[in-house]
Amino acid sequence: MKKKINPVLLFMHIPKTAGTSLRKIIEHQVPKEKRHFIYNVKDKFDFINFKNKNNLQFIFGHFNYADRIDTYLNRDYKFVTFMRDPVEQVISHYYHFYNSPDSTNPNRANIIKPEHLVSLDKFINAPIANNLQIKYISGILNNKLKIYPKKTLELAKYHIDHYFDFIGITEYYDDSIKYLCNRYGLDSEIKMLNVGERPKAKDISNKLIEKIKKRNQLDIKLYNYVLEKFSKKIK
Amino acid sequence: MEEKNKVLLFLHIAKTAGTSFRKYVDTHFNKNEFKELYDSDVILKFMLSKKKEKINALFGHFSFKHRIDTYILPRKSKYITFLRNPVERVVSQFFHFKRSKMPGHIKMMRQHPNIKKFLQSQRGQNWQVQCVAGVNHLQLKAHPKLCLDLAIYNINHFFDFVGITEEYELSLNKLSKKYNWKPPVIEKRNVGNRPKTADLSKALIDNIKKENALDIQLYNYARNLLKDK
Repeated sequence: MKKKINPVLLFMHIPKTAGTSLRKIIEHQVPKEKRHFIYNVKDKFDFINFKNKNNLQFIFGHFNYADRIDTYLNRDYKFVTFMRDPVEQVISHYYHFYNSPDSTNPNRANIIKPEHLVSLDKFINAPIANNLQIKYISGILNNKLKIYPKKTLELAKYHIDHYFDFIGITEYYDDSIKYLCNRYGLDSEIKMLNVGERPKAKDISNKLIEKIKKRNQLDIKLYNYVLEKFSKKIK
Repeated sequence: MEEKNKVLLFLHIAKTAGTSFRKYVDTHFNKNEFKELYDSDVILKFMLSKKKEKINALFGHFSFKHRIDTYILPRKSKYITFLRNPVERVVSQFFHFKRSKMPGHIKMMRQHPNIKKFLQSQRGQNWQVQCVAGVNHLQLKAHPKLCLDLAIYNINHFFDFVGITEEYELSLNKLSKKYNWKPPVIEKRNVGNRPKTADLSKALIDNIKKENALDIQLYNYARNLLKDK
């Protein structure tokens, strides 16, 4: 086996958790040959076949744990991600679809059905509006997660404890970015990007918020777990 | 020596003659050396378990995306699997579900009560590619050709051996030589009573082939690989 060098960072970009801002920092500061973005199966396959993949420093994108990006590399790695208050994440995700004009994007049909985009009330029934963050981190998707919620939560925590170097918190964006940039040798640029125009959670009815919470119990538990770790680290 | 210490991971795709194969492989391991991972519950439990150092073989209905190999690190592993003629596998899978008393299977049969409908389900469409590539149904639909390429890539880089159900004897002979195991006594288990594929209408068979075009390509690739070795 080849000698291992310093770990490559795998930025798991969970939708609507400030990943786009982080992506810009990497685009600005990291030379092209040292970074790779993965947003669909095509990008993933390009990465797998990329000759110099073991020289990459940053791999960034909407891949989840089950995509096993790390196993296509022959070197040490660490995962990094951001988590966000699940209620905010769900609302933001809905308005992201609602506001973005690219409804003809062929990938979209595979992510969400048109009937879920009629209203926020309908959106929360879509699989991507239910515990999306823990799905990314555990790699356990839809029905299995519903059948085995406790074990899925345990598995996500296990992944966090063993394979994640750092998890930023969208609600503490500036602190997270400063810590992260300092740790990985980047200059911090703390301007939030891809911020959608939308009502704030406080403008949405209590009843709807309660529904979102109910459908995102696992994400809330995991978020609290990560938040506690984060506070200890950042202090 | 190092090769021998690798953990054997048998990615058992349903209805590919895995059960008879498993009985053969069983005889080469002690009871405490191998574990069966057939239910999601057991798979999750295994991922979280701390006692894995004695395990030398794992068999189960896990897919490549379960990344079982990474839950036994730092120990190394080698994947093996069997692929079957996709038309036969789909028909066999359908009748297996139809006979089954498991709640999940009964529910699936209610949603897909005949082969034609079953072909619209996740397991009726290129299921072998899904298992080997480690992709889900949606990814498969968005990027079919790439998912096939990914499956082939995985076979070339992660799989130590791919057997072929229709070449069962040849497969077992090659495998026993490769691992220095005693030659197999060929017998088949878990063979379901079902109509022969030859009894199905040509239109239906063509439909199965159409919905499983990627599986057919993967199968042909692996079959040639087996014969060349």
